[in-house]
Amino acid sequence: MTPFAVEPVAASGMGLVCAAGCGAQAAFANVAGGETAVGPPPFAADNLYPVFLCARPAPANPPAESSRTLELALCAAREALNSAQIDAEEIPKLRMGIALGTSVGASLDFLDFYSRTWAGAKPPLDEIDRYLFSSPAAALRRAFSCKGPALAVTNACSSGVDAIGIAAAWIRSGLCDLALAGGADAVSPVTYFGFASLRLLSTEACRPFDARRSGLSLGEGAAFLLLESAASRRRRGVAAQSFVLGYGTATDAHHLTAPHPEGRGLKAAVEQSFAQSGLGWTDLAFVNVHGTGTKTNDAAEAAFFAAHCPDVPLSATKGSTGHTLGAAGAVEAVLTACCLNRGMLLPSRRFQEADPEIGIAPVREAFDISGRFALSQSLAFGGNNSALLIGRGETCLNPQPAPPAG
Amino acid sequence: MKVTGMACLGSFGTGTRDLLSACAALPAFGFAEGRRADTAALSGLLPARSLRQTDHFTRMALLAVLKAVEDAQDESGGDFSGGETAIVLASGYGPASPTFDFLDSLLEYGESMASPLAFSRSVQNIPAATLAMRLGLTGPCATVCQWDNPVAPALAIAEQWLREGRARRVLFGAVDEYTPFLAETSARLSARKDACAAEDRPRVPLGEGAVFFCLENRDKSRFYGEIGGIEPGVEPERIDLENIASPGKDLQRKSLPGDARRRASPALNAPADFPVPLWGEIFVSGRVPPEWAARPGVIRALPAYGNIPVAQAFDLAVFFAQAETFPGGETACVHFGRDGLADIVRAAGKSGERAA
Repeated sequence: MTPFAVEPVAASGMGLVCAAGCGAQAAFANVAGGETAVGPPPFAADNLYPVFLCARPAPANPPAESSRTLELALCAAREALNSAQIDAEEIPKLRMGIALGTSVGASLDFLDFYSRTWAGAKPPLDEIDRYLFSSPAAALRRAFSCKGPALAVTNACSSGVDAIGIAAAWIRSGLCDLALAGGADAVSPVTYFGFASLRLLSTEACRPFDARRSGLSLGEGAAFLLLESAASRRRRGVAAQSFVLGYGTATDAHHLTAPHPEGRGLKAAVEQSFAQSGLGWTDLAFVNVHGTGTKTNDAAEAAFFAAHCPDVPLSATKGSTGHTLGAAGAVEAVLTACCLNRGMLLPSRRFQEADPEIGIAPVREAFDISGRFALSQSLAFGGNNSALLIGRGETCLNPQPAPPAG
Repeated sequence: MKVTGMACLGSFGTGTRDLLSACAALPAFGFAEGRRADTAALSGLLPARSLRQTDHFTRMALLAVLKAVEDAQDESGGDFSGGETAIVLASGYGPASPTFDFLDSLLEYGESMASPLAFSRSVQNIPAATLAMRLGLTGPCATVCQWDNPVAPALAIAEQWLREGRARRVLFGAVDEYTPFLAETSARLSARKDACAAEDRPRVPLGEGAVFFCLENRDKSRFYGEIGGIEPGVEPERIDLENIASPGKDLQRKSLPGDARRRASPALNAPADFPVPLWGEIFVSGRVPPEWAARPGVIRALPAYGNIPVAQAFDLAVFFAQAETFPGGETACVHFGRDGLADIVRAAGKSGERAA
């Protein structure tokens, strides 16, 4: 079904931590032209499948009950709150919700405890306490003393986009006045060996859309937009750093672990985001694609773009960040917002040679853009497809309806 | 949101009648510890071949959603396939058995021989995706997985999707499963000396089950009642007890006198001796503050169906199951989180139509 048109929801702050950098501006600069950290995961004996790890080391004395996913989430959330000029002491007086996309963060991820129990031991419950304490949405709500909803969306790799789209609806409906919306995920042994068992991991840093691509590379990261109602922004006197203009989500109902080859659900999701925003293909400066580097994902996305918008510039940033799973949609939403605000499209790192079989190539080099709107999309296990239409800060409060797509 | 169809199963049995019977045993337990939900009826609804390699969590969800759809279609029919129907699935632990199956394969056979099938089934949104494939649904689909009450925020998604015109109906489900590992770990947590006295969940053995509601905004002649007024993250001291069941109005405690209940029950397929005056009361779950636990008119139905993170959805099911017997009342289901905040879901029974 086609959703009704809606008012834009402003983001008054944003935060990002990923392999490309700690902080949205640092990460943007490194994706644009710097280096990102790629190497073996700390739990694997070899470097068979490299992963993208955050440069920020784990704290020397981490809280006993905090997971790596939660640490990343807290780091990005604090940056988002700071950039929105929100004093932590003020938060309990606000109606602020948490909408967080995650995969690892909501998993029964206590391998060491499980393996010791499996071996017949009765290990201490510390790891279970960490699992219970670190349930990421609830933990963020507790950490910041928020009074509002706490939601962990677990739609696999589209979770980050979904969390932002759902939180935008919270703001519009008045469920809360502010929302930390985004995603977080660490690289865990369970996920790493799981993707390895599916033969989806690349033996080199991933090359989205490249003819020689051989799979995805896992990454860790977290990102948030601080969404805020117009009334709250007026009261606080803060500017919008970005806008969420539309959101769409649809299911392929095709295959549990592979996308529909022609992007059936993706088309529905993108059309929903257009319907909510009143925009169309010709309004877009670019699209941040999902671009994992697997054969099937990139082929499905390419088929979709070839059929619907062969001319729009595509940017694939997982070559700089890795695939951060439940955080990916949020990481890319923040990078997309930064692109629009800076007037610069990010390059698709490690993409070198176009694949003649799919006929679509993302941009190789950074270049200047002047458009105000962009699409960021995510595809996921289970056939989930989600799309966000993002607007440049303080320029698009009343976007004019665009001509029909096509 | 109108509840136009409903189905449930779990450790307590199958269907709303078994659920109410389990409630009749309150405050005693209404289920046997370790009892699994019976999903054998699935073989009469789907080809056996299509159920191969389907895990227990997904089987429970499939049976509940198919029965809920059948219930909703009972009178008006309607095509549930395509893009007009959405799925929202809430769970505390997600598909636990496939997760542990994957860990078992990792530990038993090594990193290079871990089971790809178990891993793919362990991803939290795969059960909802399986439902979408089986029912041919191409609308929105969301899974919410958090052990500290996924129900209220997931219901808020359903409400938003109907309001925004993303779907004509939402199949809302809440599912959690029993595994021996979870049961043992839960028991160890509850036995710990520092276990919070106010925490009710650990004292009740682990249960399992699935409940599905078909939610619509359209006018329909036949429905159980309505869900509305979802308020997640409320400070308990700010909950207005008198107005909790209906904001802006006086709480309508429409409990029927005992004789009327007994007269009404047999004709409506509810247990004839159902003694619990749940109607018009407030359901509580989670880490219930002592002052709430002791409050008159407050019911903790958790012992009826077991220690389960999606208890709030079963509370709603109990309420709507009774709506067939005692129409016209209101209630609120309040879940208290680990951080002390409450998630409130209000519900109202239809005035007679479904019951009559």
